Amino acid sequence: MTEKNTSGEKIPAKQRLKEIAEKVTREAWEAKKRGEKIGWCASNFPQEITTTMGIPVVYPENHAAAVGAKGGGQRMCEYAESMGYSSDLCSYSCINFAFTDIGECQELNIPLPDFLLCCNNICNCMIKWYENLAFKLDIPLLLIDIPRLSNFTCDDDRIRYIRAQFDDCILKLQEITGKTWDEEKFKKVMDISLRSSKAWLKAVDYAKYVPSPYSGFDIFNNMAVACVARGTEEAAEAFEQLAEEYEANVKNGITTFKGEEKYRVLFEGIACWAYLGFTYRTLRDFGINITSTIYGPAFSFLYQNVDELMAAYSYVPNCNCFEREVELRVKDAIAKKVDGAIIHMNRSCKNWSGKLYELERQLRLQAGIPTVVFDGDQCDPRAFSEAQFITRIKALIEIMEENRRKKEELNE
Amino acid sequence: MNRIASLLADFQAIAADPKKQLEKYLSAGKKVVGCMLYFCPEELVTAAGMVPFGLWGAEMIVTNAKSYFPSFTCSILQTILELGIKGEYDGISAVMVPLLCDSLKSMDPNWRYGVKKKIPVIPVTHAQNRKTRAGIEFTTLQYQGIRRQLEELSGRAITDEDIAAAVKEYNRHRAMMRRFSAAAGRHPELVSLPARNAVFKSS
Repeated sequence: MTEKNTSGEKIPAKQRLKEIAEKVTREAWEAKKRGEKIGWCASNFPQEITTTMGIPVVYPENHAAAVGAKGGGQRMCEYAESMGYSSDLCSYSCINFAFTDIGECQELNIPLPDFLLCCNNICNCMIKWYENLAFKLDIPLLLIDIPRLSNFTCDDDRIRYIRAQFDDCILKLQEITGKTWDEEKFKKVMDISLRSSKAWLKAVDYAKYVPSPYSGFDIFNNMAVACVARGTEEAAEAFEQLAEEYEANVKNGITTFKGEEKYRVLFEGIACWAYLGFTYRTLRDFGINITSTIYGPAFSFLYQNVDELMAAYSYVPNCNCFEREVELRVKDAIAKKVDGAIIHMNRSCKNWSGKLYELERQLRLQAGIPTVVFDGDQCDPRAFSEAQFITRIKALIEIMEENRRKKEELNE
Repeated sequence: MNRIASLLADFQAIAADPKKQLEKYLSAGKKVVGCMLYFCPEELVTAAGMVPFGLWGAEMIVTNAKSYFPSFTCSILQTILELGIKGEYDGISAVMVPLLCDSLKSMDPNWRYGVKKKIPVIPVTHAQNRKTRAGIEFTTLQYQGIRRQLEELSGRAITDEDIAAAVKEYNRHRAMMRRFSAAAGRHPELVSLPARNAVFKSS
C-alpha cells in the first residue's frame, strides 16, 4: 500500500521510513507521559518481544548515532570522559552515559528508561554499558545472552539456551510493565517481521544492477526502521514501497546517487556519523557509490519458526563465526559487482575492528578486489582525519583504475 | 637469604621466564594447553593429565600481530599473538580462548589465521546469564565439549573421578593463594608488590 499526503501525492518510501523511526521515539514519550513503563533497548535485542507486548522502547545506539550525525558526538564524549569514562570506550556508550547524566541533549532527546533490555550478540561492551546504567539509574536490567558462534551454524544447545532466556524475559517484562503475552499476536509479529526483513533485503539487493538505482548512503539513512520497527505493518509496507521504487528506478534508468557511478565499492563497518556528510560528498565527487554493505543481512532476520528465530539472532554480524562473516561479504561483493572495498577501522568497536585485517585479506583473496583501510570512529570525530580518508580513497581509485585497464586489455 | 626471600626468588625466576618453564614441561614429555585470560576451565586440563599454562603476553615490541589486531587492541592479546606467530609457544597442544571480551572474540580467528594449525584453538564460551538453570545447562554442555576435545588431545579418557580430584587440587591451591594474598598484604616489608605479582604469575 502506498500512502499519500494531503495533496494526494505519493509519499516517498524514504520519508515514510523517517516518519516511522521518529514515531517510535514519539510513542515512547507519549507512553512515558501516560505513566507507562518504557525501556531502553539494544539494537539487536529480539524486537519480537517488545512489539508483541506493545512495550514502548527507544534505542540508545540509534540515539547516539543521531547525536553524532548532528554534531554532538565530541561534546558528549568529552562530557563522559570528564565523568571518568575512558576515551577507549565505545562512543555510543559514552554519548549515552553523558545523556543519562545530563538528562537532555540539544540534538535529540529521548525519555529516560524504567528498565533496560540488553542483548550482547553485537558485543560484550553492551553488557557493561547496560549494567552501568542499571546501577546508576537503579532500574532492572534484562539480558538475553547470545553467545558468539564458534561454528558455522547455531547449534541446538544455543537455541535451547536463548529460548529459555526469551521465555524468562517475557515473564519478567510482564511483572515490570503489567502487560501480557499473546501467542497469536507473537505469530503475527513474526510474520510481519519476516515480511519487513524480506522487503528490506529485496530493496538493498537492487544494488546488483549497474548503475545501482540508489546511493549506498540511503542504506545508512533507511536502516533505522529495519532495526527499531520491523515488526510493524507500516514498516513492512514502507520497505515494500522502497523496493518498488528501486525497481522502478532500474526500469527507468535513474538513481538516487547524485553523480556518475564510476566505481562500485563495499563499505565495511559502521558509518562515521560525525563525518557522514564529508564521507558522502567525497565518495560522490570521486564517482564512488557504495553498493555493498553488511546492513542488508544485518537487519534481515529470516526464520520460519521460533527455533529459527532464536538462531537468527546468532547470525548477526559480530556474533557469527569468522568464516560466516567472510562468506556474507564475499557473496555480497560479488553479487553487487564491486570494484573495491573501503574498510572503516572503527576505534569504538573492538569486536568489529579486531578481525578486520584478516577480513580484508580474505576479501582480497576470495572476492579478488583491492581494499583500503581508514581510521575513524562511529561517533567521536577525534579519531577521523579528512586528509587520510581522501588519500586512502585516491589510492583505491588508482588500483581500481589499473585493474579496469588490465581487464580491458585482456578483453581486446 | 632467608627462606621467604629464597622462595620469592624461585617464583620470580619462573615468572620472568615462562618459556623456560614451558620447555621444562615439554622436555619431561608432558602435554601443555595454553590458557588465555581469564576463566579457562584449567581443572579439565589437569584432569586430562596435561598442564594448563597461563598465557599473559610479554613486554615487547609488536610487529607481526599488528597484521591482525589494530593498534588499540589490548596489549596482552597483541603480545600473546606476537609470541604465537614467532613460535615461542611451539610445542603447546592447543590454546583455550575464553570469549569473554570483544577483543578475545577476535583472537579466535586471528590465532587460527596467524599461528595456523600448528596450535589449534579451543573456544571457551560461558553463559552470561550464568545463574539460571538454562545458563548452567549451557555452560555444562560447553565444558563437556571441551572435555571431549581435551580427551582427543591427551589421548586418554577423562573420568568423573579425574575431574573431582582436579577440582579438589584447585580448591586447595586457590585457598592457599588467598591465604598468601592476605598474609602478603599484612607484611609488605617482606613481600613487595613485584614479588607478589611474581607469585601469582608463576602460579
